[in-house]
Amino acid sequence: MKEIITAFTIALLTYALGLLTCGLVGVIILIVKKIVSNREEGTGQT
Amino acid sequence: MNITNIWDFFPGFYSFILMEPVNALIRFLLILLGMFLVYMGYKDKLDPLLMLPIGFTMAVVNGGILIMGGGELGTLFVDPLVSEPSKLLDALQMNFLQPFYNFTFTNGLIACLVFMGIGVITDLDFFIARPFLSLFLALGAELGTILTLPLAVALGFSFKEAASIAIVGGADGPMVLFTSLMLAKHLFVPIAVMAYVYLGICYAVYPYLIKLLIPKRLRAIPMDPMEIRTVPPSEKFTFAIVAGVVLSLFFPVAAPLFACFFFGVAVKESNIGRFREFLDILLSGSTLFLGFTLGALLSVTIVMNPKILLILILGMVALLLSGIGGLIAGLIAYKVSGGKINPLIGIAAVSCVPTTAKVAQHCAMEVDETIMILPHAMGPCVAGVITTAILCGIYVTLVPLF
Repeated sequence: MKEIITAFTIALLTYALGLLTCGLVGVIILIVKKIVSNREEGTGQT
Repeated sequence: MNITNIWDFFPGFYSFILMEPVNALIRFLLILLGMFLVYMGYKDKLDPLLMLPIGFTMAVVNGGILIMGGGELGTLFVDPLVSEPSKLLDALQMNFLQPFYNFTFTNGLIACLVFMGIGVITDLDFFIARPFLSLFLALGAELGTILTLPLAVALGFSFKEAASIAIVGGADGPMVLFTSLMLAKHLFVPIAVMAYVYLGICYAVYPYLIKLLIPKRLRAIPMDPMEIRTVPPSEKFTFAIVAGVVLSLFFPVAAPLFACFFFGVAVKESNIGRFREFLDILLSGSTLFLGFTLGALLSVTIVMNPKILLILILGMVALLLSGIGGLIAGLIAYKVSGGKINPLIGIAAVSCVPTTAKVAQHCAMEVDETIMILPHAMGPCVAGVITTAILCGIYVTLVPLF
């Protein structure tokens, strides 16, 4: 029983970490989008 | 000439007699199953890229069992269980696939090469255009990857073995290879073979799951492909480099996978023609030898693992749970968006690029022939690859700590 509870803990911990990491990937996409669009606007002005 | 037995002329048939009757029967069934898989691949009912090499070698390797030097039964294909240096040296000189197995399978190289090839054919447009929707669906479609771990532990597997089986729910062959090689090398063969055979079957099974869970009227919800914004190559290239570095920083154990996938994407987006052509050929070659070697590992002398039946059941459960999770996430997205999102794109989040996205499109077209949801399904499909790689990285890092 103890092993199953530990397994659930690992599973939940993995999912929580996965959720956070996926959030981080989403944030990276937003930052990259912002940087690239700023650069393209800057290039357009010069 | 010293012939004591007429059977010496026919060692392949003789080995049948020398086996336990149950093993002989299973060997015969494996030969039939191999030929059936070849037929299904040839007829395009299952993925021919995998089924042709796996099925063919599976049939041939079980035909080609003979009596080896020590009187044991074996083949001249590959022996994955040999580890003692002197025996390994003998095996490398005798078995024609042994060098390929030892230098590309046991260190995860084949998984990384396939993943690099997947990177170069992956179109990030749809994922980057709607990242949070894609990631939400992909996280839903990891239900099997998460729930199968405690299930497997309850059935008597260790944490490392359970994690290796659970990652089948991510529906990405390279990740299954990588995780089982890192965590449960002794179960690598049955897990890897089961995963690849099941991934080939996904195409045939998921439509039934969809029909069971998604009402017909919801399957016909149109989604305009023009809604997806055009993503400039520089944005995709920058994302690939940054994401590769950041994810490697978080999960160094899975860094080879991240490196290969995002390098493949970077090559695609940087448009270096020579690299792209080479990686296309590399993907074809790696997939061919992967299937060929996996089939050779399906010899009855290797697969007779007492845990194999449980692994087969858990693998199927993992993939079904992931499909259900993806479709539930699709239904949530449909509700939250006020009915604008077709819940079928949730099945694409199971990953297995691009099979599941094609399944979503196919099921939508069964209801309305004019509908086009494939571009929208590709976003979650690619997100599924990334989330599975992330969960693989977490499992490989976290599980050994318990």
